[in-house]
Amino acid sequence: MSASISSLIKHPLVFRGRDHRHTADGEEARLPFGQANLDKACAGGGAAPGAKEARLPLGRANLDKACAGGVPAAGAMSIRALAGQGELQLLNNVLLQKAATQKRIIWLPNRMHLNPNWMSQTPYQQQSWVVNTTNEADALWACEQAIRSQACCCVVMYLAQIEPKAARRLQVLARQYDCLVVLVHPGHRSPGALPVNIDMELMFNSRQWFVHLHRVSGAWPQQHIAIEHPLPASNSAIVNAFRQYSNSAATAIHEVS
Amino acid sequence: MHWLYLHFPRLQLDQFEQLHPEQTAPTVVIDGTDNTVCQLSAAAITVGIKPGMGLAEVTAMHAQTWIIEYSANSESSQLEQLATTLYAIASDIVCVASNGIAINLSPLVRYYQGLDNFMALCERTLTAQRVHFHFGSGTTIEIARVLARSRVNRVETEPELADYHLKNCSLQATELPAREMEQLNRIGIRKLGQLIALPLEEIGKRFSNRIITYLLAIKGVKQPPYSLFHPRKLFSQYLELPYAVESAPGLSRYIAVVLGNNCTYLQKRNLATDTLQFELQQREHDNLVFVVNAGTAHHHLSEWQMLVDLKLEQLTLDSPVTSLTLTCDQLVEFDPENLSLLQSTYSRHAENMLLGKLLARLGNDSVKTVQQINEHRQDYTLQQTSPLHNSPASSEANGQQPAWLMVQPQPLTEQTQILYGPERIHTGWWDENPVKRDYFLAVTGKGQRLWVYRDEQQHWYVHGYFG
Repeated sequence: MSASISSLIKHPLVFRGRDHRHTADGEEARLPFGQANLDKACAGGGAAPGAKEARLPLGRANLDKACAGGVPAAGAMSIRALAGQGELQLLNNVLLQKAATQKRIIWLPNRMHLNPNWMSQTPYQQQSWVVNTTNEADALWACEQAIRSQACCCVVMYLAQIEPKAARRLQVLARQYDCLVVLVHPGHRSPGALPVNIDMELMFNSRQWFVHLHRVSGAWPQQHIAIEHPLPASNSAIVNAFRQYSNSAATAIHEVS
Repeated sequence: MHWLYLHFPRLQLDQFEQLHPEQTAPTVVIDGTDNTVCQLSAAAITVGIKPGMGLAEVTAMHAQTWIIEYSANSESSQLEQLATTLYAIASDIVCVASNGIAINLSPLVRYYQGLDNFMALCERTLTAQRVHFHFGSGTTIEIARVLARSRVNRVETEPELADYHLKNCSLQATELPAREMEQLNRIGIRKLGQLIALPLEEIGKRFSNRIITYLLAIKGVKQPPYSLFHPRKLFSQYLELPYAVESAPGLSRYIAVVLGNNCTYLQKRNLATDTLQFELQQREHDNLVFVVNAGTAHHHLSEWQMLVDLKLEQLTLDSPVTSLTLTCDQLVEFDPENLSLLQSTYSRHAENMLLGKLLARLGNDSVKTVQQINEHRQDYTLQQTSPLHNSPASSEANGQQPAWLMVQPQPLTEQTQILYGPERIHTGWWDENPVKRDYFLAVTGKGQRLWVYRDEQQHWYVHGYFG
């Protein structure tokens, strides 16, 4: 292609069908429908190439900073964690933000049993569906259908193992259909970073919780990010109270005059 | 009265050709009672096969001929389907035998402002159904039937012309029994005109009253009583398969036909359904019944077809299927509110479609919403409800709850540190499952937060994980 033709087709006033920025000031003129969700859809949502990706903060300052602001609102993320390491607690802020869309949240526990009493205490109970599958192939199929349906804002899937190919497929679909897919797996069998927006590992080292970021879109991977990961409940208040008041003379039951 | 008779000479073959449009080999339908050809395709005519030929003769003429066994049930079902379709354009319809439909034209002349208008609409409707048909008209159903079977294919409004056509018809086109027809042939009577010319008293001396009644109808003197057709209030269709199908996915193309009819039926009545019941007749086993549920009641063919295909993927047949029946009896009035394109709120349509897909592939109890129940024993809380049945949620907190539960508590085998507890649960003393446990939150060396309990025997168990 000659330089003159090249310069001609790059002219800002020449309409190019695949490029949104074809006006002189670089902004595409759009007439709003007057309905927020429709206008957003017509604008390409958060998934338009080149557009700034919407991110949902996790609520932990240093982790959000390492993740370039939080978890991308559309796409897949992987959490490598053992059962009971508090992965849902870590994600709570993200799930709450996604739940605000009023779309469905699909849980694919994959042979685990979600506690109804726990779920009933969450704000997104009414919009949650638990899909029980007998094998991981069905779970992946159900996840894909949920993404494609555009009825779901988030899919939380527990797996024993996830292949990079399957992860990539979910990542592409989730970005296309504006859905957040959370893949929770132990991570032993996935040595490399998965092709998803965020691939993080939750680790506990004697008294401190760390997050290893194997992959982050928009930032560099980081290791040993210390986070606060409090227990859902503890006896610390009682222990502290006993510790404080057991040494106080003022609270002694029997005083010797 | 003026009747139109529609004669469908090859209903079963028409259906076969609809199901297998790719089939170009000669195809015949064999009547199992005498093993003779009763219906034959254009390709079969080309190779020289004729109606009435025996099975051996057919195979001798063309070894690669497709042979289908005649099924009266299949034709009756098709005829009912056609009558249901025609009911949209005509009111007084009579189903005659297994391959004829009579329509009373008298009220339609005024309604359609002329017979030609109605006939054009009728022919167009039947052509869309892809069936071969011939027609004739007369003052009684019997006259119209003879003319249709003689392939007159005209609607005569002038009595003289109709009479002329009738008299030229062969006795083969009548409903006279074969024995009586043979008797008449022997005395040289081969045309209907010759038979009509004979005095009824003379015929009465030699033939039964049944023949006299028939001749009175042919002469237009007296019409035998017929009951008018009324479409069923529920949809049900039987389909005989051209050959036994061994795998469930192979049934998809056949189910598509009845499914299409069902959706058309629903759309024309502004009805919808969320449940379809299929009954598969297996050759060597009992009938197999399965139900397909959709997330919401609707009447869209493509969506139902997708759900049925998903269900068929999961289905295992015990033996080849020879026929199937679709029944749709849970009908509701169609509510298009959810299908609005520009709804400001989130449309439930996509959600219902997803639910239908998940139920079809993973089973009817695979998708649940979670509801809290008033029970402190966690073994009883593994109860979830279907998303199709919403019930108000209880908001009462029930202590510190883990996200994940074990179906059966497992003995605690690893070293842990208790960081919270105890929470005592002492309940169920009034029934057969009393529980007295002290629950704790314990942490392992890897940071796993376990929900453990100690029972009365001081044994420790893991009951769940804090996610």
